Amino acid sequence: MDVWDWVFDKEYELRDAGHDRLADLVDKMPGYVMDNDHEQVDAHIDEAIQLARELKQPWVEIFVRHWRLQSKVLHRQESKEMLREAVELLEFSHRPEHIDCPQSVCVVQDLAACYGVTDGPGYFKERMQVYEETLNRITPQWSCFTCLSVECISALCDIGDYEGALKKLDDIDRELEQCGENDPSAELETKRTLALVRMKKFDQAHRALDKINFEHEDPVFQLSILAYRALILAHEGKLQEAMLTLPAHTEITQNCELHAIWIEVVNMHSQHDKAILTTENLSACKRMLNLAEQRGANRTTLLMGALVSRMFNRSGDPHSAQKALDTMKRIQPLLRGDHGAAAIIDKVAAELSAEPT
Amino acid sequence: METSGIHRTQVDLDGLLEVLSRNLYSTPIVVVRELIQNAHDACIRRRSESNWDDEPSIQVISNAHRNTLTITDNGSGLTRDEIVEFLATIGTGYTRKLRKSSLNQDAIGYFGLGFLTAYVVASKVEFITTSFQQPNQTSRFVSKGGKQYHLTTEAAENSVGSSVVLHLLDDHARLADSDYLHHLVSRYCCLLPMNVYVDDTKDPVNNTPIPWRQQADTSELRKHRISLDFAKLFDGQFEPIITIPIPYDENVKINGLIWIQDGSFYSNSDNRRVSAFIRHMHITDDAKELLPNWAGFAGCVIDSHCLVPTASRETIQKDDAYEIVRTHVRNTLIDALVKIAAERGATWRRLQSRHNQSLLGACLTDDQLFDEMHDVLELPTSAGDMTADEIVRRTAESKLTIAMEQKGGFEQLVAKSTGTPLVYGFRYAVMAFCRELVKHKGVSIRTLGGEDDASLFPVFTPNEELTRALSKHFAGIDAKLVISKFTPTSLPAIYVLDQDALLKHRLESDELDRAVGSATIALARSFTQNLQIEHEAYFYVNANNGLIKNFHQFSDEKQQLVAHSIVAITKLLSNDNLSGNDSDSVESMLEGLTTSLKSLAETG
Repeated sequence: MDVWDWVFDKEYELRDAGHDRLADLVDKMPGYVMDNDHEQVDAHIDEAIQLARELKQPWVEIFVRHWRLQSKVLHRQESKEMLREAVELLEFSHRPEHIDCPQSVCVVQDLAACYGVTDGPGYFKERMQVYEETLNRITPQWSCFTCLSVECISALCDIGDYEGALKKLDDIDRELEQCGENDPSAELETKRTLALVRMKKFDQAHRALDKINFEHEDPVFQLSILAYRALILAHEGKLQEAMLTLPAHTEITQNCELHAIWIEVVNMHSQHDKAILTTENLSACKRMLNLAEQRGANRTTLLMGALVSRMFNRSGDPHSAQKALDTMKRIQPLLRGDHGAAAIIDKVAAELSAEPT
Repeated sequence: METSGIHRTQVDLDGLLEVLSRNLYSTPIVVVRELIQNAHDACIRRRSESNWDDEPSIQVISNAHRNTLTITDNGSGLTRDEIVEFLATIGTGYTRKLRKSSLNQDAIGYFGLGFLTAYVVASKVEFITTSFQQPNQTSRFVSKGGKQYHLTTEAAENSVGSSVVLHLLDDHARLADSDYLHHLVSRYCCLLPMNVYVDDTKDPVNNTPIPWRQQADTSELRKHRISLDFAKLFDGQFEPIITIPIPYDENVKINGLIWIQDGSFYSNSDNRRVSAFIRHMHITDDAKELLPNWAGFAGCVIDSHCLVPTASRETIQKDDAYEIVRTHVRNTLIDALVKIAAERGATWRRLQSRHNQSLLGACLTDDQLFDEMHDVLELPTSAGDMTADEIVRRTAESKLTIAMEQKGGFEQLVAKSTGTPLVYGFRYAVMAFCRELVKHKGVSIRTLGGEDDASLFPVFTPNEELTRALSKHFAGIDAKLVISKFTPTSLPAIYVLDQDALLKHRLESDELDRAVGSATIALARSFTQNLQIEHEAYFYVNANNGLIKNFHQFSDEKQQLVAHSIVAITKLLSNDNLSGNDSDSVESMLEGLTTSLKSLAETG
């Protein structure tokens, strides 16, 4: 199903009825997210919801609330603040009078993504069950098939099952091909890239990214592609090139989903050249770490904290290194299951106790 | 057999001319600009290389009858050798060399490509010129299409200067239309500091007073008028409320003017109008990126000496100089807005009435703007528009109380009755702005309909007798009884469902089980399972209300009837809060109310 058809029809309907403002908001909201213009989402969303309610347009309300979740959760990782909204929207969108709204399926992704951001490995089982169950309800012709598939792959990567992720990607490719959907998806290919990098298959990782037509992608995906390219290069040891490719931290302030990659690339570079650990870069790392903690991306906070602590230690700032370790310890009780957290914390603590590097 | 070696790259002149003349420029009418620019540069050159102190002059003459367009100047002219080197050789920009060698920065041209535009619009191009270096000779250059040319030099016919005569193609005959030409030239050349005449006009077409070129002794009123007229000319759509001169800075090297539009449009509309000139020559009317993205209510004209045009000279290269200019324009605008807010009451009020909400949204995208303006921008409230400080001053708890719906429930009623201005969080950018106030300025907020509502109903402990009576007769309700004191006093009670409990009920409904997959519902329920729910609903009785205050003085029978009536009315009025599983239907509530009131009436 094309989940967009009704949206276009609805816009016409609203304009014909003289409700241009709501029609504009429906038209612009997805664009704000894809153009990485998240402040515009924040500025407009409440007005859009209010208008949708006033005009008794529940499908429109579901639509704009879904896009807020996409902005806040998938890109800005604000799972703590948005989890309640995701649950409420799930309930609202599945009421008998609203269930036919195509975006009610998208809302399932939003909910699962919230838990994924909170603690990917911790909620792996539940996420996989949700994805399998929902993917079975729809066909590859649905636009959300790709989105749900991406989350499924993310879940597999979160627990380190990269081979499983690649196998799943092959299955997804086959299903999409059978439906005539042959254009590569930036979201799927970046996930494929991640799995391939973790399996040290760097050439294949490059080829996965090469499949995407960079110029045709929305700004939010262009940043993603650059970040993943930099990740491959860093793992290949091409550190200078990696740093040149990596988006500047100022370009990705709102793209929290890329912060972990940014920190990983900078960390790898710093292992060979401490000069990269400038005040600016370290401040950016600290900011990203604090943001992840504030927003409830617990597992990510732990993993980023380890790298940030090491970088501070490497730069000769054990005090800040300790603070990063403290952040990890603070987060630990919030994790759902250990999944290696204790070992990571112990390792970082041991490194800090040893002689400074 | 082919041998290896170094070879010379070939040039397909026909193809190159085709590309340069037909594809480089988006519209052939830029020929007017390019040729006027050449004329201007010729005058600059004559001044720079000789002791010439006459008034430079450029004339643009149209002849609709003969279908020609002629641009004449009294500048330096070219010698025969110079014609061959600079006019008949593509890419040799004399003006660029002049700027480099003589440090004369007044000349405009760059790429030596401008003359090519002539071949796009004309079947034949004539260039008649007398150079100041050889004033006794006049050369005539004639070309059809630019691939070949005919050049003669004879005894001087004219005084020093040049004329370019374009024999226009039929498709471009409009360039010989006087009115059209007048319009084009006045637009392209309005900042050119050299008189340009079109046809037989006595006055130069570029005689618009330029705000930043006014003499120091020009009166403030006149400067103000000139600036407003200038802004109006360039905006074309909106009147300006106020103009803001861009201060000249040696590092930035721009002159210009910003204006705020007097328009009423959606808060996030982008009506930026920016015209950019480089060295006084018009480049583009579409340079809106020079203003910040959030300034959708502003327009701007800039004249720069440091920006660099692209090869077509219709856009600007986005290099370091571009970023410096952008930053300077942005800082000028922010500084001006802050100053207007601080010093100019009536102007600021006019600006606010039109653009306050746009500025609220703008603050979300610009930290400096937020920092400098957060305390002067107004939030829409139930008591009118006011600043956050004003709102906080009017509340007992020093908080912003935010309503997320136009039609609110009892919480809004109670909040309003205390005189608390309710901030309309559902309006554009308001909620997000309030969140920024919380994050950066330590302001406290309360959102109605959330867990903070209990603070609207402070607990009150009356005397024992009243407490006993109320507890006895309100015991049957399916809610936690709380004796409180609140306004309005006319409200005897309020019934409020706990939102967490409501959500949990909905998630546990059979309906949802049928609609949502089991794994999904389990994930959603893992959220509600962690909610701390003490009571599913709260029944706040108001000890400020006459009926409640004196409740214990009624007979036992009357207490029961009054209690039933109050419960029925309150639940009726709260009906939109009731969950689907609540057993009281509207009809049964009305029945209960009727029975109670009937009994009350019959009771002595």
